[in-house]
Amino acid sequence: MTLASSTPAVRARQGMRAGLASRLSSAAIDVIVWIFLMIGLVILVAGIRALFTGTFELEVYSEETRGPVATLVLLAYLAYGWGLNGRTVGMVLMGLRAVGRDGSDLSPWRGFWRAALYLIFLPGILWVLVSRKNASIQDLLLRTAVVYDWGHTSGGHVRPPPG
Amino acid sequence: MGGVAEARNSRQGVAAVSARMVADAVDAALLDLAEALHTERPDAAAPAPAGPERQEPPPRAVPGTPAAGAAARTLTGAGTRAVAEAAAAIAAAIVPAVVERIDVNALIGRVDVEAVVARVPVDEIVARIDLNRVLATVDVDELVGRVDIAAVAREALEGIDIGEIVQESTAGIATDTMEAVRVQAMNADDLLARIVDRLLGRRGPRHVALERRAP
Repeated sequence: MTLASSTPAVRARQGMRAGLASRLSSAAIDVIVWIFLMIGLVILVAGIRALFTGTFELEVYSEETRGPVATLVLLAYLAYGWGLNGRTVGMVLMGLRAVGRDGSDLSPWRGFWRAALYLIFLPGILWVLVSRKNASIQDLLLRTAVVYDWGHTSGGHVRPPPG
Repeated sequence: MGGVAEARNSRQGVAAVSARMVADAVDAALLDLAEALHTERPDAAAPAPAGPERQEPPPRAVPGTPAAGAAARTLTGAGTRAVAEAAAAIAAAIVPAVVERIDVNALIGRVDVEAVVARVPVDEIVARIDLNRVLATVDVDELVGRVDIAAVAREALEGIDIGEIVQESTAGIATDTMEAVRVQAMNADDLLARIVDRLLGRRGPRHVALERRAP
């Protein structure tokens, strides 16, 4: 444990709902990861094609193809992260976790619908600024929350603070 | 037991040799003495040979004369040489035997080396050494050239797990950096929330705690 995580102020905020800056930071990291995933996907497809044609050639997809594929990749990435352990790569780095309103883990379906709602209406995250519970519109619809979780608790499971 | 008998025989042999040498030396000294006396005092009672076969007696050394002094010196010198030769022969025979019988290790063991060393003024000796002059005589280039630096470096590197050090330090730096970013994000969260709440005219903190799960 390092100095920052050992301070009482930081420890006291573990399990509390996170604000907009932390959540946007993790979203920005997720966008970078998403871009790398897309690049990796293009390389993978080119490699598979090279097995049959013998020539490795990266193909630039058309707008009609690129949009849906990118949306699907992002949906799969977010749903996988939230539905499996409540964290995407960005949330891992920023020390956040998506949980139920009572601190429980999200089910895969709940994670999927959360991802879908964010793709449908991304500006809903800005409601965190206004909400007294730091909740986005998606959080309010799906009864979820994003909390600080730096991994201090065993297994990374968030326990609600007493009181 | 064999060692004792051998030592006894050795001592007896050394004594016999010593006695024989002393006897020979004394015998030689007596012969020299007799010859010297004969030269100094010819037999006065013997009749002088007559006729043509008569020989001239050697000149008689009269006491107090130069001839008597020379005879005395001859006698003294011969005796001294004989005694010196005898002593040298005795020493040559005895000393090796004595040395062989001395247990040098036991002798050294009885020496208080610490006390001997303590009496040596090491500091003064070292202070008198001009290290600069000594070092000036050292060919450092040749000395360094004789060192297998590659082998030394390789041996040193084998004892150091550089990979682990780099990994630990890198991980530590990354963790500290990430936590610093997280703390900054936390502070930004609070700042944004305070600004919005002030704009909205809210009082009191936000309800950021999760709802407790029903038992």
